[in-house]
Amino acid sequence: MTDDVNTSQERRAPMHPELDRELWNRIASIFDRALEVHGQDRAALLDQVCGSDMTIRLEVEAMLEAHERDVGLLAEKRLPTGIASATLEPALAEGTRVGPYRIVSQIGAGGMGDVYRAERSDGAYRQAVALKVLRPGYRTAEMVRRFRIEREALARLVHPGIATILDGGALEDGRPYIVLELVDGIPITTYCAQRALGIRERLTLFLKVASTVQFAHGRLVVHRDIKPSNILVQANGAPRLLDFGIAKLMDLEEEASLAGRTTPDIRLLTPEYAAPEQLRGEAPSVATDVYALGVLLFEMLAGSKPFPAGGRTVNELERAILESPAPPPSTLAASPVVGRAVRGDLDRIVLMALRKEPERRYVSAAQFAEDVERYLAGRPVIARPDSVRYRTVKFVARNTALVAGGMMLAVMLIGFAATATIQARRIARERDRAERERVAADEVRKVLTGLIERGDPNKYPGGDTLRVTSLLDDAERAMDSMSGDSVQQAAMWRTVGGMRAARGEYARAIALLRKAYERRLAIFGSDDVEAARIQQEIGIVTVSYAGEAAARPLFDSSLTTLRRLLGDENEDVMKATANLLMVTTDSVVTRQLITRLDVLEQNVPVKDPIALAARLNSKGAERHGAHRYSEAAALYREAVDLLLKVEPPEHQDVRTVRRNLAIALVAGGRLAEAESLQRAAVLLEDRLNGPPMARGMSREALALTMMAAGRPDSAEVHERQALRWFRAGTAPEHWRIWSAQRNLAFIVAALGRVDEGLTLLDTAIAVASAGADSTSVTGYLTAQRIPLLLRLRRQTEALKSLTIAERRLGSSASVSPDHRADVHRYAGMAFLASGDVPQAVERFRAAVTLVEPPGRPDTEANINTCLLGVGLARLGRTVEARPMLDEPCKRYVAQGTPDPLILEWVASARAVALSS
Amino acid sequence: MTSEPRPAVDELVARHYDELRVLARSYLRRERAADTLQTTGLVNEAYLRLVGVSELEPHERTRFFAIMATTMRRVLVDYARGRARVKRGEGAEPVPLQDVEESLTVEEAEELLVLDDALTRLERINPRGSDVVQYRFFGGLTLEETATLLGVSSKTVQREWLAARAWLRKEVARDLGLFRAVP
Repeated sequence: MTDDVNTSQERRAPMHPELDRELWNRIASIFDRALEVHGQDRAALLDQVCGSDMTIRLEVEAMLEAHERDVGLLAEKRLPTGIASATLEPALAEGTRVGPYRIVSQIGAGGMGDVYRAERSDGAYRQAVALKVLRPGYRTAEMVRRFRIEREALARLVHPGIATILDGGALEDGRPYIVLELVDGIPITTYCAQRALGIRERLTLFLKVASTVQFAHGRLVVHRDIKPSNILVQANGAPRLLDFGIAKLMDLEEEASLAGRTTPDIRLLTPEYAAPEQLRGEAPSVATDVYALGVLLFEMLAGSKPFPAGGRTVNELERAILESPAPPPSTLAASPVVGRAVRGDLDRIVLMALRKEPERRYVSAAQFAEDVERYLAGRPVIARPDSVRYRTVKFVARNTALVAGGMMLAVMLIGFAATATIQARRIARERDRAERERVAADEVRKVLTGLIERGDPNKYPGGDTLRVTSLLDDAERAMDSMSGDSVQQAAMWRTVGGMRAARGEYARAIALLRKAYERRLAIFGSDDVEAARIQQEIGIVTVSYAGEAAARPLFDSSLTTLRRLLGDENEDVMKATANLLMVTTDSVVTRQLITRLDVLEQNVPVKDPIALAARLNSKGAERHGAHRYSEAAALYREAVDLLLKVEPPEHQDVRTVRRNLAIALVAGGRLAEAESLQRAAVLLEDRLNGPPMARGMSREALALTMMAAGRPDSAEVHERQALRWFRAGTAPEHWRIWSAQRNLAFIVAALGRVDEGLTLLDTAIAVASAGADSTSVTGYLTAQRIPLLLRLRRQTEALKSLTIAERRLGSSASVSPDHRADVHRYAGMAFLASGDVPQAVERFRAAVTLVEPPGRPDTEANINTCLLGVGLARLGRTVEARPMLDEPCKRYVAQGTPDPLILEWVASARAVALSS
Repeated sequence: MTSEPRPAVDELVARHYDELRVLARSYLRRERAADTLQTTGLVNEAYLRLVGVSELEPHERTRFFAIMATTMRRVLVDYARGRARVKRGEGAEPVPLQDVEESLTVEEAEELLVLDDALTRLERINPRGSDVVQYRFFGGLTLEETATLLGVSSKTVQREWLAARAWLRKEVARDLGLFRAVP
């Protein structure tokens, strides 16, 4: 109840405190009798029966008065009536004729229609069939429309694993029906139990179901309601899928018309098998069926469902499906023997299919099936324990480099806490300790303290650079002349090293940090936590100076030391593990680190605000990867707020996260906000004379925002600057370099210099082929040649590039669905330009299917849909094409720098679609 | 195709609860006629979708309809609460703007909340009367259907109904005054 109602209850409470069941009975009986009489008689009756009891008298009189006042919600005319009886009568009686069929008996009731056993009875031959018809009274336009869709969907699905559609028609009263093959079988789970199938047999049976589902997906039909009662196994052991009753075409026309309606998608699903996105009312996709297959395999293995309804209210069930992780099937297995067999790989496989986020499940039923096959063959499976953040961050960090005109999210390495405050505190600690040990160089310390105050560009931006540098030089000389094995000296080297690093003087910084590190080793031996921390810091500077690979041994060795000295579950160990993960490329090691980090995250409380901010930053990147841009922006903002409590606004960490924030804003279409953030960042980097990589990244982010805003001229200036900084700051084959070259290629092409763009792109490909992951990277970049070639009308060459690109990409797991969608789009463009429209349509459709969920705000989703519309219009399917040519194309055109060739296509397609 | 085994009440409810809720919302949204809550159409369509209701044992049916009526009541009350909150300017969070004009009026929402409250009190002093109201008003059953479900005569149901309704109307009329007087 709301507070207001509670209040009213309290106020009213004393008015009839004594009303109880007994009193009610008396009141009700008087009321009954009073209703029978009127006027004077009624007054007399009340006088008689109530006597002097005014409570009862007033109550009854008020009720009688209310009885006459037939208004409000409880008015007679508003009362709903006659529901149950309408519901319960059987629809078609035995013997009813439906076209050439005769109803024999009702054999079931599906989500939206009753199913009858019927016989074909037109004399020629007798054939038993299943006849499915809409229920009486169930004739809203929406339902009839859906029923028609089902018929069309089924007609496309001729497969031995799917109950065949035989016929269809309408009853005399207009209700549509379909006639299906009658499947004689039992539900798959019952079959497994009855035959007492072993695990391998169950898996083999499951594979057949998965391949059938894959077949349907290939025909752009998602089942949406996969569950044991819809999968009957026949006597010969072959499973068949029934009841595409709520099958939904993945056709865009369908999607578009559904999206345009205000009525929510009426759900007809079975909660225990429903995927989270279905409960949220989102559009179902291939991933929805993958989820349901996961539930099915879970049940086939464990004998129960991951989220059984038993004992739970529906709300609880729904919440569990939406929020609780599914338990590993081995933990619910009926027997310990089965539990042991399922534990491990099978658990992982099932749980991968049951992930909450559709985009993180197996990408297809086929991929799911392949993993089961790998298990059966004793090969390693690709399913890994769920670890959202690190995996995604890793992915985002390494693969966004591929996205056309995409912006790179930066990961924050943790540990170089080097904030003025923290470090000052650290120095103070060391100083106290040293003072107790010996009397040392007070004068130098004073000088240093002063220098530290003035020499940190983060603290004093715009200070006289030369003066600061020379002061630092002086300080170093002074420190070097200090006597003995001083711990203080190490601390000072470390501090100054940090300041050098912040200024982008990486070589000097590393040299100083190394001296500090070695000094500590000399004093304390190899069992020194501080030394290991310094080594982490050297690693962080090394990432900027020489790249991830060079930093790896440093992170690795210091992590080993920290684990040895501090144990496994420790904040330092966690930070060091996170850092090592960010520079690791080996996939096996990556997986191990991710697993370890997940455990640490659960067990180690984090207090360090910088580590917390790094975590928020990672979460933001993860949300970004899931196209939840506003959520990502919120997380970044939170991280910035946290950092600002311990770091000055100019600090590297703050800038890193702000950069990510700007990228999320661009992706979310908030260009103006992003631009001002980025301009401020560029100005700041310039003023601080910051490290080259940071400056490059700021410039590049601004360049790409300019592209999104339709200002390629300005974009070119900034991207060229970025490329210069990247060249200055990293090894020549660093991915930032080829990525910037590629971005530049598209920028100059947008300015009309397509030839120059193509040359730049080819340079990028050459650079990339020297780096890691070169096959899939160059494959993708080669595909990106296509739009440029097409603008130069070099169609044949475009098709050649496509072949090369797809051969290189192969089935590489490092290519994300987004990238695959891009390649499909480029392929479609190549085919369209060469006149092979059907192939083009198929590719565009594949691209659209891959960039689910629909309604994504970014360009990728709109352009694919728009191009599909272009293709369909060329095929003369103008009705289907029209909605795609409308909103999605408009959105694509409205974004910054659309491809002029595509604009041309859209214009002519629209002319065709509108004139017909 | 083979027929499914007869589903138990809980499973039935589990299976349809969700869609019922969705339906309830959609009806409130799209089909508000001037003088009806449209529970008729709403419950109708939901019920029509139920699988195997006719095959339930009598005691299971009672339970089933009872749950359905409770569900409907909860959905409507939740919705009404959101509406009433909008009026108070406590954020429009539960109801998107476009729905506001088309769904329950604020007055109806308030009346529904007060009615819900009164019905809860009635349950304490007259459980059967409150069941009757719940079945008929929120569940949309006829007098006769309600009688069958409760296993009593139609006459008894009618008597319970009239008394309960009169009492509720009286309580609602008074509480509504208080409700609206609250600043």
